[in-house]
Amino acid sequence: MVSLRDLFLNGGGIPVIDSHGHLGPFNAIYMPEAKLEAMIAGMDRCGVESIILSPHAALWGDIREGNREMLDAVNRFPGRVYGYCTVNPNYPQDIPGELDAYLDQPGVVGIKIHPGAHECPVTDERYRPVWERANKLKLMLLSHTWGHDGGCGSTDMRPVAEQYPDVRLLLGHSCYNDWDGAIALAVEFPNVYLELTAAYHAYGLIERMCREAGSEKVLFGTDYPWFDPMVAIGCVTYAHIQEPDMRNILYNNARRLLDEQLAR
Amino acid sequence: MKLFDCDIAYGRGTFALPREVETLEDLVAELDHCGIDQGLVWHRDARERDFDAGNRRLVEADAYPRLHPVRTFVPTCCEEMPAAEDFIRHLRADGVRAVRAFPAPHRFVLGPVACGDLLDLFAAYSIPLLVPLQDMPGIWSGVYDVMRNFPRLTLIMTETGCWGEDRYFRPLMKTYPGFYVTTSRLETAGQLKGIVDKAGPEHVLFGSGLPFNYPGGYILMLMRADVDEDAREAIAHGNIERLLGEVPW
Repeated sequence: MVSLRDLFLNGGGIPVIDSHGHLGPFNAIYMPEAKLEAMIAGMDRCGVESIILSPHAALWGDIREGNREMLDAVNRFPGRVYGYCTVNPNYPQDIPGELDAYLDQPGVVGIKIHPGAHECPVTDERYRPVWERANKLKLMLLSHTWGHDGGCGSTDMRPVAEQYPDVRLLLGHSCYNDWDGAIALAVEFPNVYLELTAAYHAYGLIERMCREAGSEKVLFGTDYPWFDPMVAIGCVTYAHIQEPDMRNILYNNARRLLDEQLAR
Repeated sequence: MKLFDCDIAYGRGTFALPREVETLEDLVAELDHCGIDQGLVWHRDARERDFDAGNRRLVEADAYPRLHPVRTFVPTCCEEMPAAEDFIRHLRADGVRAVRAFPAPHRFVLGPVACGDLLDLFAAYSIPLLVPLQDMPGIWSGVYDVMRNFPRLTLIMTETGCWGEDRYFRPLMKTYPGFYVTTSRLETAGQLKGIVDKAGPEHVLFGSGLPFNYPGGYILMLMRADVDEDAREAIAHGNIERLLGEVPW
């Protein structure tokens, strides 16, 4: 039987779901595949069946424009593109309206927050309506997380994981470089998932996540169009883990979460 | 396809990694797992503790013909190093064909005043110099200074970062034939194809950054990149073989 690794190496593959995507240009980084059409072509090249994204315009600048761009992408490529409604706590007055406008739209499966870019700790009061809505609707919520503390580190995520047990909480970047803290959260809270964007490169980390938290708690993600999905796929398929674990990470776990949202 | 990894290390470091590559046996086992044929290897002591201790540890790599040791240097000013000409003689005697520097953590400037004696000889003998980007004082402006001062040097920047640094390094590729980057953390989507199409495959070397990175990520990126087979071969092994072949020993 051909291994998953060799399957990808020889130009084939299995379907992959990317749970952490973006869309459009962003000043700080040169991204040749930033446009939607280029992203779809890149997804085809890498075997990425679907991506769940939040446009850069929804993270920096006027997020209302970014959320419109998200919905347009979802509608143009149904089944290939799913969306996160993004909120910016620096404009708290906009939050209820944005959530109302998008969360019932077909293909919008959750909420994205970026406490780092928005310089607002995840436990800040301005995020409360977001957490409450996500908890009530049992939504996926992808939060940028980084390190141990500083507003979106593992210690910051603990109280929200505890307080909102029905949120499907994706730790974006798995609290980068505080692997102990991120894995501990995933072990302790059934609703917390380790998302691999940027973290995937750290040699041996995927094995550790599978061993300690279980491969069902690890989600494939790439920040695409930031990072080439093939890099992350290579990290997963060359890791010293079993193929069922690879399939969980690359597809099964995200499929299960997506299906749950699509049945909402 | 043959793979020659320009950036692999081993040894226990100050901070534990999720999976350690402590010994040369560990290293070779992972190279086998990934299908990597040869590598330029350094010991983590050379960066984190004592460059000379790291160099001495590397003697054990002589038992593995597929591993090519990379010698770390500091400036000769404090006489911790042999004089530049003697250093080159030692490289020749030991068959070492590449060198490394970690200027920022080792507190020196990689420029003509501090390192001109060495860098002039590296350029003269076509000895490739590898430097991790984060260890270059001034980061990219430091790289520009090095290339401006030593335009004939073969400089290989490793770990150049995952954030699409093309605006920094494409002008260097256009200006200096001896400027290279490795694939470690060169992971922006479409980036490799862009470099190959616009700057040419001769400026990129396969280098994984093991044990800090999974080699498999960069292997799959290279093997599945939308570039022609000649370019893929050049990056996978041809470029570094050419560079090492230019060293006169």
